[in-house]
Amino acid sequence: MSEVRQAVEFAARNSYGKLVAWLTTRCHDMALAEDALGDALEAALHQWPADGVPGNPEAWLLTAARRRMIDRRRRDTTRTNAAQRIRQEAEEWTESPFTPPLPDRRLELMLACVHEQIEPEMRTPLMLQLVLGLEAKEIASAFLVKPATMSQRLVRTKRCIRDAGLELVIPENVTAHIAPLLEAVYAVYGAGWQHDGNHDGLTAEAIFLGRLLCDLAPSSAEAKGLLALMLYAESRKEARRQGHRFIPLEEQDTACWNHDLIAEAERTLRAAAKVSEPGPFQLEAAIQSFHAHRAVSGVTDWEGIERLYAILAAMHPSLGASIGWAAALSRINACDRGLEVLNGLPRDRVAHHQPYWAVRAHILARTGHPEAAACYQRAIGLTDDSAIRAWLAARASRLLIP
Amino acid sequence: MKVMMMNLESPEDLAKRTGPAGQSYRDAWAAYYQAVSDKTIGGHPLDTSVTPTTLRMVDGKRQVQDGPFADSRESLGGYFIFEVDTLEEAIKLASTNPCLERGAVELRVIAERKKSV
Repeated sequence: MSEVRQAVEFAARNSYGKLVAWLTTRCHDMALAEDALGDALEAALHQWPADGVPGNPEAWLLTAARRRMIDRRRRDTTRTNAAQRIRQEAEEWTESPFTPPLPDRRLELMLACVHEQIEPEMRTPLMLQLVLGLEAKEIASAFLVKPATMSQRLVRTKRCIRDAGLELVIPENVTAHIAPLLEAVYAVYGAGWQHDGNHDGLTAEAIFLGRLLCDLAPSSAEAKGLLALMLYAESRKEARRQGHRFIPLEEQDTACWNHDLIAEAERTLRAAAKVSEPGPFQLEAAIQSFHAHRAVSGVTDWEGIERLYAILAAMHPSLGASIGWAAALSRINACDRGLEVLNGLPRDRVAHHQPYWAVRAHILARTGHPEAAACYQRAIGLTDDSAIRAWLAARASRLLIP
Repeated sequence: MKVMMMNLESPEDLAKRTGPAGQSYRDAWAAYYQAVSDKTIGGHPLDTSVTPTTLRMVDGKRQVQDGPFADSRESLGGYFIFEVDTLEEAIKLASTNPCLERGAVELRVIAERKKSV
């Protein structure tokens, strides 16, 4: 039974988005496509133990899901009075049996998830559900939303897409439309990284999506930049902890980094550079590449890192870019300029932003400013990870030693 | 909207209210109070050294009992009242509560008094 369950889970993980995309192009209703696929997966759990796992699980699931959809539509016809059309559609499906390979329409599906008509905050959750089949409650925990609320929002968003008649198409200029999609994938990684340990799976899911995007949109330099960035971060996952202790990047033992992932990140970043289409993800990945180079040179090139952050903050301003820039400035003895950068950020956006207070505290501590202690306190109060709280507290206690 | 956050602290954490071993836990609380102070409009820590008292009717007779209303590993160690725009904002504030690691927090939306027309 567990073997069959594994087979179903494997098929679900690898085929979920593909099948949803394919079914949606036929019925123009994501929610219906998902329900039908859910039923098909359920049926697989019952049938496969008896009949054995089919040779082509994807085709099996698709056929089962299609039957469910036709059944559901038939039931609906009495209500919608579109009997004729639906019957035709049903016959058409039955007459033309599916033959592999199934065209991969996941890029279209992902682009639909980040369509400008969809609320920005719902793009990542929608993608996690439609492409990876994650449940609303898992998504809710990752994004700190009440599960019932997340579930309602997902249903509403899918209904909007259906009513708006959004088509699953690839626009002529993919690279121009891919930016919000990359943001959405990076948000998956961010959610997994922030709660590392608890949402371990999400960083892996994000990298899965990143690799998928590189395959589906090979001409996008930024897709490669994003994948490289996530791989660099992932390579240091083990090194960030020593037992329950948090180890900051600069103090990490480079021997604990995953050098296979670093090599893959370097290759991916080089491939991105060949496209000659610079962008924020490639810049961020390049910054991480400088950090990774410490494994070879033994030192961190803070001047180089500062230059890249300055470009990033100027070309693609964001809280993260400014805070990273400020931290880099403090490392090249330009604490005053670092503080200026921090002071320029909008107050309401940083009031509860942990990294801002942590970096502010570090810079003030370096300059011996008396407000450093209060900033450490604030950062500690905004930290959800007890290992990082303990590390910040240790930093704060050093202030007291003359 | 007003949201009540109940801190359901584990016995291990409650033991840290006194003594040198609990210093870092108490420091974490001090930092947390400060970090959420701009959104906090009320709340108190509770004296957990005193056993809770529960009153209820049993077979039509009033009974006063020692112990909490519901038995659970965690006990209510205190509560906050937040003034926020959305429940999500309260969840975000709750996510850094120091008792979360070994305990839990429960969020309740406070009923607004309906204005008479």
